[in-house]
Amino acid sequence: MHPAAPRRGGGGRGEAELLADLRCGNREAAETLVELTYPLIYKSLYRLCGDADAAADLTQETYSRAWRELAQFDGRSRFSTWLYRIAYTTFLNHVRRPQRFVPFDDVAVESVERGQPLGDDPLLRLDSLRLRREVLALPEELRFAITAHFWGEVPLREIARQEGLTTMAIRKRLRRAIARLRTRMREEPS
Amino acid sequence: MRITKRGLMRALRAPAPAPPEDLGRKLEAGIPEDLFGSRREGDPRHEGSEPRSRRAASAARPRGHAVWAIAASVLVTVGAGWLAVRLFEERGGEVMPRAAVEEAFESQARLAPAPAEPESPSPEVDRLATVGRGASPERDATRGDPRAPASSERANDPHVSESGFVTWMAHARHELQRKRDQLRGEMERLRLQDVEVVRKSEAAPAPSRRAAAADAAPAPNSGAARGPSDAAPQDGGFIDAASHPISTLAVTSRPGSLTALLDRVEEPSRDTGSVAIEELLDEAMRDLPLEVEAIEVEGAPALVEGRVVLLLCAVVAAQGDHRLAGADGLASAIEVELDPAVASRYRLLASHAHALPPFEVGRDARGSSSQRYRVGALLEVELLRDLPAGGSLGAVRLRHDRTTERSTPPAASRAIVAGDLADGWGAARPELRLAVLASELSRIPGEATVEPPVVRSELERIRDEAGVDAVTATTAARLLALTRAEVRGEEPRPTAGDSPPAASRRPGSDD
Repeated sequence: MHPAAPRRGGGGRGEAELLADLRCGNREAAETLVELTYPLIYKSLYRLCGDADAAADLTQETYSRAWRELAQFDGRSRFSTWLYRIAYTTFLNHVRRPQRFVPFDDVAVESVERGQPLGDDPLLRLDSLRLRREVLALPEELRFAITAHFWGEVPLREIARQEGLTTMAIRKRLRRAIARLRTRMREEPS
Repeated sequence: MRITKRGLMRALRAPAPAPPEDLGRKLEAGIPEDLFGSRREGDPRHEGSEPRSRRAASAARPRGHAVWAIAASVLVTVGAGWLAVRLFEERGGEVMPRAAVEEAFESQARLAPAPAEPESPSPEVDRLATVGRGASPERDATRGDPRAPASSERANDPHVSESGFVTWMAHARHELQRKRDQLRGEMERLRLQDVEVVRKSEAAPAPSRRAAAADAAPAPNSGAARGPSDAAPQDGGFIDAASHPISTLAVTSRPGSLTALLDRVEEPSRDTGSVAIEELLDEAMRDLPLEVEAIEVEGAPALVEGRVVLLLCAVVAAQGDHRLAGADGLASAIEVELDPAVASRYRLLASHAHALPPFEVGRDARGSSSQRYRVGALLEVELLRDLPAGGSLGAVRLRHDRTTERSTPPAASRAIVAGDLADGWGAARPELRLAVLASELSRIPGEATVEPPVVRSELERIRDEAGVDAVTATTAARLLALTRAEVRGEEPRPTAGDSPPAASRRPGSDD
């Protein structure tokens, strides 16, 4: 379920209502927004960086940046989509920081479900580390589309709004990304 | 190893671990207090501004009271309103003499700022802007004037009773409608004005390059484009390449501008039967592998013999705080210089600038954030002679500045060579062909250089082309429907796959 939808945890209130309350100075609304959104943000960051501690740090950095830039939120997409975009950018900044750069191969391997047999499909036997590496090696536009959709669980329509494109264009990007990933995964790991 | 698509998608959706237990608490504790800086003491709306731990005791406070209070107040308000209306109607309504109504209208009209008339109100302007039913000159003649309710219209107003009186309620409703029409007219005027510039610059030579540049800078337009700024008019919008070999297209983008907002508001209400050429141009640029500040040139022989169409596009980036600063926007210019020995004349078919999504990490070494824009122009060039293999048609340059001074060093430049052109019209990408065809369609029946049946046949060809994705096919079908609606008295349309008349086909085209 996408966090944009009203949940019981938020007293049935939707994001728009919570944001309106937040702008009125209601701290509870901010806390409810955090409650609604942070599990998915954490999971998406975990899938991006593959490290639990780093994901937790980046989640905190994401929210810190979101509160700073809240005035810039224009409502073009849902709050959770906007938040995912910030998380994604925070992750990219993280891996591009020279002093904190961690090669993907050196990421704590034990934290990744490596080689876990999940069935007869050969793909399901591949290690998730390699899959993540191939996803992150995609061109920027394909990478954002596929990570937002599969790892951030952002609906296509929301990605399209965020990117200023049509849903069809996002579908096209996803198709291209999947095709490229299949090609790359067929090849022997370098 | 065979990897299925389904398997790959399943692997991508592999579950991730749940977040640490204390992460939620840390995040809640990290919410800055200055976020609630507007809190006022004693304001019940701000009761929640205390941390959750302090509210533990009050959490059990029943919320039912507040809900009932709100419901009751809503009921009382609605009931009071209904009662007031009933009393008002039973007493026959408070009436306003017709003379007073007339006076109110007149004073309103005097007070309302008169919209600036477009400098060259021309149906061609509208045709250039939008193709379709929404662009019919009759409609725009009424839409363009926000002061449309004239006295004769008011005399026919159904709210005005036979006895010459009008009720206040009807008057208010009428006023609301009039305001809405006025706002719509204002938005249409802005939209027309933005597009009109392209034609205006073609209609009259600009006094100087600097003046044209200065004029371009404050354009209140998201994705506004300026036409050739220093070119004399020619027939069909063509400009003589010998006397004006250089043409500058200044592009000013202001993502936070009022016009951008109005465009967004206006978009859902736009006639569904219309297609903007700029949208098709943007679609054509979308799949090009563009790096920031790299120029892409794509072209093809046109449907008319001896002409080529050129799509020039680039991605430009404003670094740092541009997105936050917002007001000034980014001024960039695409400058085309055509070789008079090869090019006879040229014209601008369409231009477009599109702000790419914010929060994008730039591709520079620092990885800093930047706002990127995709800008492009579609040109039609008439050749003096065939372009030899390896020959050059001219050059295209990209400049970033608030003027279009030629002394500014270009950010990027490249030659337009024969290799940039597809082998034939049919070999060009469908998106590019659609944009060109939409441009032709917009000129029917006034300045079209290609016969309507040819345009229609080409649209059908694109729609039926194997491998064309759904967006292109849908757009082609939509344009096709518009062709039928717009073009009158034409011959029965050819079936899909029929070749257009040979007279207007370029010899050697591959389809």
